[in-house]
Amino acid sequence: MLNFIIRRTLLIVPMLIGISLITFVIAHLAPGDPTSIRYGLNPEVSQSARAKLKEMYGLDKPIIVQFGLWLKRIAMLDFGNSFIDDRPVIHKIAERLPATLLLNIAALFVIYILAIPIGISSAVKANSKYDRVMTIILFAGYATPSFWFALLLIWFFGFNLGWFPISGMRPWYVEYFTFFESIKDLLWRLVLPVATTSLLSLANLSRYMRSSMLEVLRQDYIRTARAKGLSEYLVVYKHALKNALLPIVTIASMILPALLSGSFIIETIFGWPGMGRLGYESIMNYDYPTTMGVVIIATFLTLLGLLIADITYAIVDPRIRYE
Amino acid sequence: MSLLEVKDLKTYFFTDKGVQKAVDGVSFSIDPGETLGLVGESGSGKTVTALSILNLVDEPGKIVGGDILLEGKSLLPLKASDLTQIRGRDISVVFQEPLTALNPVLTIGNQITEQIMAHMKMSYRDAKERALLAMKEVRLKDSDRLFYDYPHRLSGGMRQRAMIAMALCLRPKLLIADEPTTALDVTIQAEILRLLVEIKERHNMSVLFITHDLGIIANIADKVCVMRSGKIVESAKVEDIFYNPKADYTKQLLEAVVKIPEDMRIA
Amino acid sequence: MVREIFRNKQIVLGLVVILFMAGIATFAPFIATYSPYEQNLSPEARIQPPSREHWFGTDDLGRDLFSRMVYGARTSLSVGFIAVGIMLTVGITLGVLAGYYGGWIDFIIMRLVEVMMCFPTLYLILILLAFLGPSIFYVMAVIGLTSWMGLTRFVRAEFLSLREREFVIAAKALGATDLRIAFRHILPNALAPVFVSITFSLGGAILVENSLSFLGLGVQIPIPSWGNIISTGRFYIESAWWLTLFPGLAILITVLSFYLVGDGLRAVLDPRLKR
Repeated sequence: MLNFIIRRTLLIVPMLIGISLITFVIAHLAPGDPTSIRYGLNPEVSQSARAKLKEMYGLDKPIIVQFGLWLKRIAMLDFGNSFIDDRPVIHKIAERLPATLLLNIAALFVIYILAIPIGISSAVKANSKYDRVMTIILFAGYATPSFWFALLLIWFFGFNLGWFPISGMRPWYVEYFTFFESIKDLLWRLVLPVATTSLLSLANLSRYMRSSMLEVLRQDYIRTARAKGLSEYLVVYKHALKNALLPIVTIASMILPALLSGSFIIETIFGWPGMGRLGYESIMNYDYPTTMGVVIIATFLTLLGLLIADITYAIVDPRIRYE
Repeated sequence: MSLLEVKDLKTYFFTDKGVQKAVDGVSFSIDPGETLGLVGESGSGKTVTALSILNLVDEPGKIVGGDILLEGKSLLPLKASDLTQIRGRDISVVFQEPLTALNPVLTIGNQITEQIMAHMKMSYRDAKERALLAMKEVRLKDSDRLFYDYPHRLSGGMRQRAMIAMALCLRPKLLIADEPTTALDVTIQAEILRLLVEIKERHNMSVLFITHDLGIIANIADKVCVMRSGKIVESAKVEDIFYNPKADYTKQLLEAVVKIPEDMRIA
Repeated sequence: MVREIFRNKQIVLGLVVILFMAGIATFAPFIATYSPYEQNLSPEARIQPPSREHWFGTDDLGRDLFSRMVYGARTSLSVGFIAVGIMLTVGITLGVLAGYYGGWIDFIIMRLVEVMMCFPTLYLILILLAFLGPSIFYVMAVIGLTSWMGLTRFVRAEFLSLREREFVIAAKALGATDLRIAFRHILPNALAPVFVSITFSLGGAILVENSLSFLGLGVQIPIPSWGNIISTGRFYIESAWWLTLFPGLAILITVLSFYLVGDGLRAVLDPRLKR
């Protein structure tokens, strides 16, 4: 078990090198040529950007040295200073990270709470009318553009009904609230962004739960459980569910990149002060160091999620736990 | 009165490619304390027959005709909840592959006690006591430790013993053994068979023993039914099958058995 | 097989909608009631609600929304198909290389797949587009180049399992070349699930294109895209709901149709899901 965790953690090293390599290539795509049409409009910006990038990345050195420097920077989480306000990028990200984590963990929670029962019921009633209708509803959710869904929510619940605030996480007046009131305010403000974030991955996870459950229900030990005279309830919720939930743990790591992707749109629309909005703003303002910092931190989060999922899997599955 | 009577059983599978008559008019009966051997090659409908008795046939299979009587009462019209009462208490099954037939994420002890508690009003403590007793009876050594162990940690033979402990812990009237030794090593096969015979004798159970191996049948069955493509081609006392086979198919099966070396047969 | 596909209601429904959208896209000039670019800045022409003249209303520059959406179908479908074409080329090539040759080629390709899967795709695309400049061709290329990983994994797995099958070994014994074996013998056997992947990817690519256009890094105004129509509609959401509602529904319906076809195909092709 401990062996497994150590081995699994070591596997991250080649992944980190791979990520560094890809981001290195991307960073070099950053428009540096001041005569390029796009930046010709504002030669000053691109000139100074070029100079800063040159200094930061050591662009005058041989490419292999550049990559070495890049690796070192990533290892030390030093992404340079923002072009906008000259503050260290990592500080800016650190400020924004809690909001993003709060939003996505809350969404993950909602997704699991909904997807597991939906998946189970669809599998138990596989190919019934309920299952078919559910399939279409879920795929409709999956096919809904999240930015559009967010706008509809804002329009309906924000403007028309006035139930939920449409933007922001911590308003200025929050300091006048008691602790309890401020928590309530925060939860209230989470509703619409979390609903939007959950929508996309809900379909994914429910379908996964359904097929996992269907797969398990076909297994020999389910027949054994029935032959033993257990009630259908025990067969489904004890024998089948325990097995079907195992792979679902790992799926969290698969939907994490999708969730973070969603953050870039959803945080922007809802004025949520998270990393996603920071990333979007940095792209729009040609703030290259911040842009690269955000994407690297996002991949780190995904890697971390993968690792946590794998270790959890090892803990819950007795076949791995005792190896 | 016979314990179990199967009359003209028909179980068909309704697939996209048409209807497959897996069991097509099978009849037999088992008396108390009697062992019936159901023999045939794979795909002959033996297992589906066994599963039909407890109405465990999966979709798209369906029992379309015939009757199944346990002590004179038909099982087919029973409600699901009444059938659950019979499964595992009056009739138990030991399946072929103990690795896949046991739930990988539940401990052995959990899987035995849950069966006891499903059928008897009993505290967990008493059920555990009884489960440990059953584990001792099938000679699972170190049962106190194995009780908390998971199936994948046991050897094939031990897993099958655990399956048998589970099947026998409530002293069923009828044990259905569906190729219980096929997935095991030859030496362990003999041990498991001896164990089954011993327990059967001790509790005077009836056994429906399903196998493709006539050699095994010779040692444990009283009566034999030979199945082929969903039908019974010959049904007789075990001596008659071996010394005086009627059907050509039985003769073919017998010829195959003779080729097995003597020392691999069960004494 | 073909009969089963056309007996599946989900597939038929999805296909009908897709063909309908494809028809609109192909014959856009004949279907559009107005020019999608013609502006009318007079106050009585701008931001008009749906009416007999303008079925879906007009936008902030007085353009007919219905006509813009008809041309938007053209944009979305062509971006979708070309992006998926690129994805297929990259995904299948790498999958074949990894699955057929194994060894270090396989090792490198599979590590690349794993690393790529860690990136939040949409943000990666945004960065690339920001660096390369927003152009519809970059949109297609970048979507294609960031979505091939699942397909590669699948094709590779398929190759690993088929490599040892009799007909492949037989072909090898008869002296067929590696490439010939890969494309003549193995690939056709892996084809059916690839179709499932194609339909899902088409839906996904259309969704991504519209998200990018909404964020201002995809299809650029004045070329109409459902996504960039919504990005204008966003500012008028309190008063002009039609600018947001209709294009969003168009995206939803189109993408959903692709997913329904994909899911239906998967059910037909996966023997284990059959009854």
